[in-house]
Order: sequence, then C-alpha cells, then structure tokens
Amino acid sequence: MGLLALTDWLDSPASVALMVIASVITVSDNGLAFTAIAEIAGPFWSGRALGTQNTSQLLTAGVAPPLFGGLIGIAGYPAAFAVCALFPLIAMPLVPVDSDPVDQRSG
Amino acid sequence: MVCVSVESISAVRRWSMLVIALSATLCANVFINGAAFLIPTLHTERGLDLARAGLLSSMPSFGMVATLIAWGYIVDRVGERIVLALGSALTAAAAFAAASVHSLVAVGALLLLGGMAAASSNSASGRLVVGWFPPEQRGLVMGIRQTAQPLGVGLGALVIPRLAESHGVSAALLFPAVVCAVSAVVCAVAVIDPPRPPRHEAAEADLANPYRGSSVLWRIHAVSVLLVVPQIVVWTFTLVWLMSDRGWSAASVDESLPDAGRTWWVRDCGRSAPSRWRPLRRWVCWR
Repeated sequence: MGLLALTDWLDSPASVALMVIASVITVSDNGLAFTAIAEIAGPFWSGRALGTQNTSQLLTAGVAPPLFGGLIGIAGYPAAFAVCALFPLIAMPLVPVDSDPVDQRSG
Repeated sequence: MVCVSVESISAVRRWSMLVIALSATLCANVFINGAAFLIPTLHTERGLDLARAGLLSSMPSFGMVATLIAWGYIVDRVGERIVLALGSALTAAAAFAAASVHSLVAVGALLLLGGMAAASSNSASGRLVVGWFPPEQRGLVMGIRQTAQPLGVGLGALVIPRLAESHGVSAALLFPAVVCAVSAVVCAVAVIDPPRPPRHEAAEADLANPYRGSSVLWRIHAVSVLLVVPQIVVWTFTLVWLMSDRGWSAASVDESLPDAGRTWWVRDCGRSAPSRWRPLRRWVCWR
C-alpha cells in the first residue's frame, strides 16, 4: 500500500500493477486467522470466538468505505493509500507469534 | 486428543464433512447475497428507487451482524449438526415466507430474519472443518470452505436475476428457499458433530473463557480488523480510482473488470479468503 501511494503520487503507471498485487496480498491472511481462532478457543468457546471475528470484520467493512471515501475527498488518493499502509504496520507487533497453535501441538 | 478422535471416521466421511460444511455455507450465501440480484427487477418493475432497493438487498447482512455471536454461543452449547440444520431450515422458512408476501416492507423484514438465521452456518461450518481435520490439513480445508461465499454469490448470480426477470421477485426468492431447505435436510441427516468430551467431563482449562487471562484472541481479532481495512479500501475504491485518478475510460474498465473478476474469483477459491461480504460488494459494483 505504501508503494501504491508513492507511485500514485508520482503518477507512475506502475501504480495500476501494484493495485492488482495489493488486491491479492491483502486477503491472504483471513483464513489463517479463522483457523487459528477455532484452534485456540477450543470446542467450548470457538463458536463465540468465530462469531466475534466475523462480526468485527463485517463492522469494519461497513465503516471503512465512508471514512476512506471522505479522506480521499479531502486529501486525495495517494494520501489515503498511505494512511491505509499504516494499518498493517500497526498490526505487525500485535500478531501473537509466540502462541502458534501448530507449534504448540507439535512441540 | 483431537488427533486420535478424528480417526474415528473414514477419510471419505471426513471429506464429506468438508463438502457438507461448504455446501451449507454456500446455500446460506445464496440467500444472503442473492437479494442484491433482485435490485434491477425491484427498480424497473416494482418502481423502487436504488437507495431503497439497495437497503432491501442489505437486510440479510444486517441480520447476520446481529446474530453471529449468538449462533456461536449456540454452537458451543449444542454442537454443529443442530445449528447447521436448524439455521438452514429457518433461513429456508424466511425465504419461502418472503416469496409469499407482496408488501416490500414485509419482504425486507423477512430478509432481515433470514439473515439472522443464515448467520448460523458461519461458525458452525468452520468448526465442523477444524474439528474433523488434523492441524496440518486445516489450512487447506478451511481455504476450500472459504470458497463457499464466492461460489454462493456466483450461483445466485447465475439463477436469481433470470428468475426475477422472467417470473418476478417472489419466484426468484424461491431459489434460495429451496437450496437452504435441501441443505437443512442434508445437515440434519449427514453431519456428525466433531468429537469433544461431554461438558461435565471436560477439563477445566477447556471450559475456561479463553478471553480471560490471555490476550491472544483479542490480538488476533485486532490484527484481522487492521488487515481488513486495506482489503476494503482496495476493493471499494479501485474502480473509481482507475476512472477518476488514472484516467481510464468507463469502457476500458468495463473490458478489464470481468477479467479482474475472474482473477478475484480464482484467488478466493485458491486460498483462504474469509471475507464474506467483499465479493458481494465487488459483484454489486460491477453490475
């Protein structure tokens, strides 16, 4: 998303290719989270945990378009893409790598 | 524990659980996303403006948000088979009822109720898959299960607009009603709940609230919310960005988007994309 913001700001044709790449990369994590939640929450809690996961995703999907639409209107596409790039950066340190259910089971 | 007990059914039976989980979720998605394909008919034949037609088509999604966690709680108590069968049956009942009333307010209310019922397949089918497959296969099978949403949207797109055009809105609503009714029967007959100890024999640690004393689940939810934002932004604004910022004409976008759509489709089929609502959004966008 950062590269997309930069190339769009520079008006480079590479931005369209980057958009296609971004559209693929951005979905790659979803099933992983869903599987991990079911494993970590266990058979007596995973129903609620998966429900919470989907509810939060759905609500975010409802809120993000108007907010980013407004941001694009005020600041333009490159700025909105750049703001968008911050979200994965904030997410990175939050990923609970030390509690991987597969690692725990095998080790 | 899990590794031993999943051996209690044959490999064929185990994969059949995946097929059932996939098809139950697919049928629910025909209902949830199918209402969007009624928009042209609602607009041209029933004289509904696009804002109201759009609102009507999003009623199932509103219903879903309201009940996802509640259905999850029921799965935790009574297991996957009852939830999948009951949820599909209630979705079918709401769709049959929606097909039988003429008032659009009543149709909207029934679409909302149907969405509340259709949310049942979400947690239950995910758990069916996680419960019956060993950890090293779960990524793949969950990815296959996740294709239910785009496949449901696709099936709805193939059938519902044509039915609506030739036989009207009511007849078109019979399609999700029938597929959900079939799914309810299949789930009631063929789903085997994944093995788990009875509640009173379960270890204290398994029954304990996993949200207390550990931040792991909260962190996964938070990460997923943060990572879904770029997905939504990309999917929502690509079209308008290509046209207004990159100077693509409507015609060139029109030519390239169906291909992009197929790419998205393959991507959703090939990997683990859970996003239940974005393919719908794209789909609606392109129409």
